[in-house]
Amino acid sequence: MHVLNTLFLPLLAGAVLIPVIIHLIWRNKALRVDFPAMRFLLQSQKPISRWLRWKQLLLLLLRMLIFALLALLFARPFIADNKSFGVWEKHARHVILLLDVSASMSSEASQRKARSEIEQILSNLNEESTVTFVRVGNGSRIIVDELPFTNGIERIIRETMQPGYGVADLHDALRQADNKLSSGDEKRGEIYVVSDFQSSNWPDYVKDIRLQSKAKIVLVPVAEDELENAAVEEVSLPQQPGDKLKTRLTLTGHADFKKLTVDVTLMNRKAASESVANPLPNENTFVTFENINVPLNSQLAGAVNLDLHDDFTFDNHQYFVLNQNRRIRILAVNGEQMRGTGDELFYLKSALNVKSSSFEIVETNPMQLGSKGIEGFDIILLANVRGIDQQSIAQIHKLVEQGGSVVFLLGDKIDATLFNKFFQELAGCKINKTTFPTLDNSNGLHLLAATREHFLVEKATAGENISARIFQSWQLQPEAGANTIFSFDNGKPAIQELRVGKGKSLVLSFPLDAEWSDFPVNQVFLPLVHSIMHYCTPQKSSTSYYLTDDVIPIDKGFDVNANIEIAYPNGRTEDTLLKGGIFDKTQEPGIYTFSQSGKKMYVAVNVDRRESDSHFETTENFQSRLSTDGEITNNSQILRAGNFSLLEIEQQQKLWRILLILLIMFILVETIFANRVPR
Amino acid sequence: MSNVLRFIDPKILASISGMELRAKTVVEGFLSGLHKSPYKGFSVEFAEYRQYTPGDDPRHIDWKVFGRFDRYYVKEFEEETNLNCHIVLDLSNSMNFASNGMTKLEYASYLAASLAYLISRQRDGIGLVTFGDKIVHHIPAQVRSGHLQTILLELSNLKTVPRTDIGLPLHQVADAVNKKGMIVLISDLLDDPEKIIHAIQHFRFRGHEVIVFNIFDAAEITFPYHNTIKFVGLEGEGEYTAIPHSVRDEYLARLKNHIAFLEKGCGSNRTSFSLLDTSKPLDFALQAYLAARAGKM
Repeated sequence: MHVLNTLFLPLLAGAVLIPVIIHLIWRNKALRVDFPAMRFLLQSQKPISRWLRWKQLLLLLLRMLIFALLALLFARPFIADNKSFGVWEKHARHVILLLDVSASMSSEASQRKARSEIEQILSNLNEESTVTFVRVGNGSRIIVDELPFTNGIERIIRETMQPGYGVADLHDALRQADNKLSSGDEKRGEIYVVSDFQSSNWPDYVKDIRLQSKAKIVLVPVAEDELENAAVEEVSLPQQPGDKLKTRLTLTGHADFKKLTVDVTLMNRKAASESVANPLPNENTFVTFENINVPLNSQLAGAVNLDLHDDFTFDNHQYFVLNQNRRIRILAVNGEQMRGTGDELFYLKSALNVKSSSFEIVETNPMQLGSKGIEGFDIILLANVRGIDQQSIAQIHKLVEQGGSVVFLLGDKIDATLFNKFFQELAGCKINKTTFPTLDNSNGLHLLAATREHFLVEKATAGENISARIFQSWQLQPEAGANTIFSFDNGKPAIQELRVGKGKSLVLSFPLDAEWSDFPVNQVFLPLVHSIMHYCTPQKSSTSYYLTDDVIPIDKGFDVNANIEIAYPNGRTEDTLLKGGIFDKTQEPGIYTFSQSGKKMYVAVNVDRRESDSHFETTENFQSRLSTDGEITNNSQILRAGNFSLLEIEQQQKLWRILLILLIMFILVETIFANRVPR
Repeated sequence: MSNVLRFIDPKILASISGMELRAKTVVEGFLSGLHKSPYKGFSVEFAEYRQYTPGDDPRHIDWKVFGRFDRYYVKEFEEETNLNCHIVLDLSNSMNFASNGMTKLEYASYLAASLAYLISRQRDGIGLVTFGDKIVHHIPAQVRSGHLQTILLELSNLKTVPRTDIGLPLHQVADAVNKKGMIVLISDLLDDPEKIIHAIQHFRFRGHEVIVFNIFDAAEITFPYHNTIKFVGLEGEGEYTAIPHSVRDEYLARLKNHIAFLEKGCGSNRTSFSLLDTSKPLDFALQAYLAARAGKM
């Protein structure tokens, strides 16, 4: 039996309880009378008490039944049974089953419920039905495409229900299913959406999904109500020597763990472990690993692991590849090569060649730049360079476009006309003349941060003013798009940047030697120079992982025309040719290892953290986003009733009349029975 | 004394303070309504002269006074008696029941006080025995002045006892009172009726005249309850939850049988049996006493 007004079902339960509550409230309120002539009452106690007990019990049952019938009456019940309503069986139906196989569906409860619901749906299909079964992950994968329903089809569906590690795009799957049904199929269409309706999959912008077909949409929610989950939400990898590995954990849902143990593995070996006692639910928990030693110039694959068993196990690991410690290659073009402190790069090289430095600086001069080439360098430093050949300018431009950087240090060798001719576009500014503030003011000019939120300002100066004095500098005229990072205390720009393609172009209006300033002997010199180089380092090195189902480009160092050995996270290995230099079999999270001729590349693949979301859309909310001419319900049981309107079925059966008669009968019986006393 | 007070409501009586005043109010009111002088007996101790009124016995006319004053005077005498009357009062907890404000025990104590006052005024010896499952207090019968106050004081300070066993204490009283006299039993008699009748037989065997006042509350007789009620026994009989209308008939039938058995038992032992409920004026009880007293004379 099913009901039209499901709202009355909880009311039904409540209604049945009403007589019980009344009974319990009034049960102990019998008036107490101290009575002397008890001997005459007690002589007939037993039979009367037994009668009373039975009477009260029967009355209670009768009243519960009356209330239940009343609530059921309002719920408007009907029977959807193949035998009783065989007429609907004759209608051929096309059932499209969209099963959410995202990672969040992997919780035991969701799996159990999803299996049970699908079993129920399949059990109601007959051979007249046509079935399409779609696994909905990052993309829709049709497993069964418009085939008549048979035992074999049923077995295929049952065997391909296990969830993956992706994010479900139900929105797209629903559109495709709708298109399929609206393409002139004469059969009655039904679309079943079996999902946890995770909120993160349904951003607010997915507001109105307009469906063309008149298919019946049945929403089958299978989300677990009381989720208990802890996730490794984010991993912050060390950027340079001395940095620490940090991780952010989140506890969601009803998670209440007494202790969390987090460990870091590097190349499958445990490198560090930390414990967090009584982490707060629904809060971030930060864990810092102090002693992670990573050798320089190495590429390490690793993971942060949470050692516990919760509802979502896929987010207990965050895989990463640590290659930030590779050396940053800088090509320094020296425009004024001299001996000792007079050399344009004397102080700069001293600053970059400190112990444990990750910088590799290669020096050249403008004349040799063309023959040396800039291949393999991350940053091109033009220190007091008057001019370079056109080919080198084009190469630098290309490097910057692709993510590299160029840094201009403007000194006494610079000619404004030549600079504006060759470098204006790349530098993002024009220069016209040098200023000599020292003629009037021996204290020089100071640098002030133009913005407090810039990486250089935060890292190099920590927001403090710089006490260095600049005695002479070039006057910059920034062009549109250029951004002033530091200015002088007279308001003129001192250091500016321009974003070019994926890279950056930085202009310092003064050289980094002691000729025009006392900057090299100032305490901020070293951190500023290091920060500039880190800031200018191509960002690709910070990409530590991909998501499941992402396409991975293979490094240029590999020969894509030869076989590459691939080791999968589950231990399986494969020796194959990667056409186009891309790899797309990233369905599982973990570390993928690519090897060829002694060269190795590690790639970390993680599950999208949106899958850890513990908020689920209600079917009512979801329903409100759909607009269709067909019927939408969240009750999978109505499948048996075919495509007929439930209202029509209810009106045809008129079960309410039987219920009403029963109700009146019960009320009569109750009235008679309540007034009956034993004689 | 006005006739109005003759049938005085027991509730009003309860509002009068002092047991003696209550007793006096009842008895005087009662006596003033009698048409016939109650002062019968063979006492010859002169009391006073009174003018003859129609109805007086002509034998009592003092002819010497007639000779001297030419008027008819009758001689009045103080009555002398050798009758000892014991009021035997039940203090069981079942007497502590009231549906209309006055407990059976209060009613019984007023009745006992009124009887004591009346008996004392008649110059009979008066005694008091209170009992529960045994004798609680025994004041032997005496005629001396001031004895009435002792009894009234005792009646003013009655307290119930948890249990009752009417048979045993009555046998003890029967054994204790040697001189033949009158026994006035005031009780609700809620006990085994056979034991009660057996005790009465004991009194009769010892030559006592017995008057039984069976006191009930109106609620016990009419059982006027509705809705579901938890009845709790006053003497530890336990509790019983019942719908009154379903048990009323059976209850009343058992009560009626009980009373009928007692009445029949008393009748066969030539014992006066009066059924009283606490809403009835005490005059009925006094009348019953006087009737029994007259029989004794």
